[in-house]
Amino acid sequence: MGIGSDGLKALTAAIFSNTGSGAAEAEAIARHLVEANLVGHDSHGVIRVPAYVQWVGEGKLVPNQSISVAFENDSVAIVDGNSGFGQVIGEQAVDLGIAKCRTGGLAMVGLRNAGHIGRIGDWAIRAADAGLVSIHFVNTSGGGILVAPFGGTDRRLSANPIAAGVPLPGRRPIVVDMSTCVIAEGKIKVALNKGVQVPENAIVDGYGKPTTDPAAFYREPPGAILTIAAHKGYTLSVLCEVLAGAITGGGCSNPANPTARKIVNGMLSIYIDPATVAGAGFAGEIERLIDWVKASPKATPDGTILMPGEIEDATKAERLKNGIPLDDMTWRQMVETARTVGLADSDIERLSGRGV
Amino acid sequence: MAIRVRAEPLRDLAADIFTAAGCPAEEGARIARYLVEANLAGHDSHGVIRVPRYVHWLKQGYVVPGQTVEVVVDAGALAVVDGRYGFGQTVGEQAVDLGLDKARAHGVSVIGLRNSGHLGRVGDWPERAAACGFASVHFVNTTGLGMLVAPFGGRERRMSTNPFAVGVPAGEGPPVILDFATSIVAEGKILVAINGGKPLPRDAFVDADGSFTTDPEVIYGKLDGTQPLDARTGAGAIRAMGEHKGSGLSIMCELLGGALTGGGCARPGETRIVNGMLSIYIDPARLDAAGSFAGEVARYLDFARSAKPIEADGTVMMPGDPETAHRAERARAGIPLQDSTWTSICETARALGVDPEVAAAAAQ
Repeated sequence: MGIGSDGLKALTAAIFSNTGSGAAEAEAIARHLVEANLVGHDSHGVIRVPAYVQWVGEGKLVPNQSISVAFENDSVAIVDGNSGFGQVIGEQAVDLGIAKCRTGGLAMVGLRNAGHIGRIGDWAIRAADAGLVSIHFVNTSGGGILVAPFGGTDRRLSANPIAAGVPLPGRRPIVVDMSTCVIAEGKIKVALNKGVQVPENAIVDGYGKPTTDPAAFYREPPGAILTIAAHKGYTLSVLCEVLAGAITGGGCSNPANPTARKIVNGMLSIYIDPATVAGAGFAGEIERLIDWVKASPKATPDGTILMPGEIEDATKAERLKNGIPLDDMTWRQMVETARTVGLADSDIERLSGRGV
Repeated sequence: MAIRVRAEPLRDLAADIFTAAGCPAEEGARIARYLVEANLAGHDSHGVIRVPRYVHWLKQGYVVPGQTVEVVVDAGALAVVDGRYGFGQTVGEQAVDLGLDKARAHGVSVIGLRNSGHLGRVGDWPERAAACGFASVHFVNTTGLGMLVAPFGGRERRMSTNPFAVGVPAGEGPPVILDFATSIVAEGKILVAINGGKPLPRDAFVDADGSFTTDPEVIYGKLDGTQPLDARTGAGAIRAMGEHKGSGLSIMCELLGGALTGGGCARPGETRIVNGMLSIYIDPARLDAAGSFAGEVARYLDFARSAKPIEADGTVMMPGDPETAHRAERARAGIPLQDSTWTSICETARALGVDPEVAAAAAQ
């Protein structure tokens, strides 16, 4: 039996309240992190709590920030996140894009200097819930350089995710959300915590040799993650750097950046109102495609063909019912962090509904 | 065997062929320019090898010469245009130029292009935008012809090779251009492999029984030389790049390039190749109050290139580097063409009363 999502949310919110965030911000951070756990992306869930708290302590992540607008016209805004929590800064940036898009049918928002903005699919879903198509390119300015360029051994790129979402009336949106590397760093950390190997062809050790040992990634000299689909994912990752880093003004991956010692994300987002562009046949054509794609015979008899985002829905339904299966190390780290910020064991147990 | 033909006479020959086939002279020259440019960049699958097929499509009425896009929606920074089955080289260029005008005015623009003839090498379009100082992103689909790719977990064809392209200008240097099929390989690369060229990546195809293979017969049927290659005859499919991620990206190309533009997503039974493309254009200069954009791009490219290569004699390249290298080599030494490709271009020319001799004399 996993931990209930409401309890996990309550504990997470309490931790961030004690770290200096206002109630609304603490709730937003907790909601986004636990949502990532619920949909099965544990790498972007509460496993991040200890690092967030540590960053606040070190002044790398600043509670209670708002975006400030560096450039704005009818269709475009470039906004600065002022090193605030990505969960809040991201919402503000996305909501600005949604508002602009509702007026003009198209909007682009470049966000720079945001704290870790978490699971990018969240933002595509937020836009889709507002009825909008959206596309997002993300980088870090230097704090998450983990990925080797195609043909190279040294870290030069971040996980650099891209996401896109398309709303559909009366059903879940189609949401693609993927890092341009084979495995997100969070997943290597999950493997390390669980004591299991990472998949083959996902990482190389510090000497450029392929390995499945998650510890090899964290040793000196550090290993690196490989890009998806060899050179194709590599080119996509480079373009994420340039679009999310250079166009937003937040900077591409650079160990010399003043922001490189913390996780600072840049995100370039484009919002399109399908009602402005597409005819009445839009949703019907997508429904037809979905049905027809799913009608392909399966590659394996017991296999499935899923639309992007479908697996997350199924996982969420299961975890809402049975709880979130948190590994012991992640739970211990959560408890330790909660104690550090002044929560008593009795508070932790009362909020989370789980014994320490 | 391959011969080498210099770019200029090859371009002239292709232009004469399209003009003789019924294109206005300006359009004939334009199509020829794009095709030869693909060869120069090393993308032979999208180069003059297409000339006989384009002429065939023109004769069949599948593609219409001298078309102009029709603006279906014009909402400020956003437009949808209908290519009316014109040559992709013509209506694609018009759509891009409209996007650049709008991005100049608004800082960003989106153009949905539907019912375009074959758009050729999709990398042409971010290159065109980057040459004018604009960043751009392009999602492309077909309405069904060219459907060769299985969805992740499936074994039947449901998507085309659905290319995705991005381009960013890089100051004084060549622009950074990404242009790839969301399948493990594009169809042209299978043809190249069959002819003894670059081998295919492992597990590029899924067979009718669900197993992964590199055998091109799952795409073309029996390769015993008794019949011309026809990608409709194989029982298997090309797999999407990067497992579920590429499959998702391909679906997104269908939704954005097909459904959002109104051109339609892939469907069975189509007889002509029709592309849809959703393009986003961004004017970085407009947003760059600090004047940092070009310098930051250049710095980053240098940083990425400075990674130690895996192989001692290897290099770390940037998107667009291989194309730049090909251009230099092919501008100098001519464009290598398979004998069969060259023969079929000459036959197409003669059938239209065009003398291929001038280009042939320049062949080496």
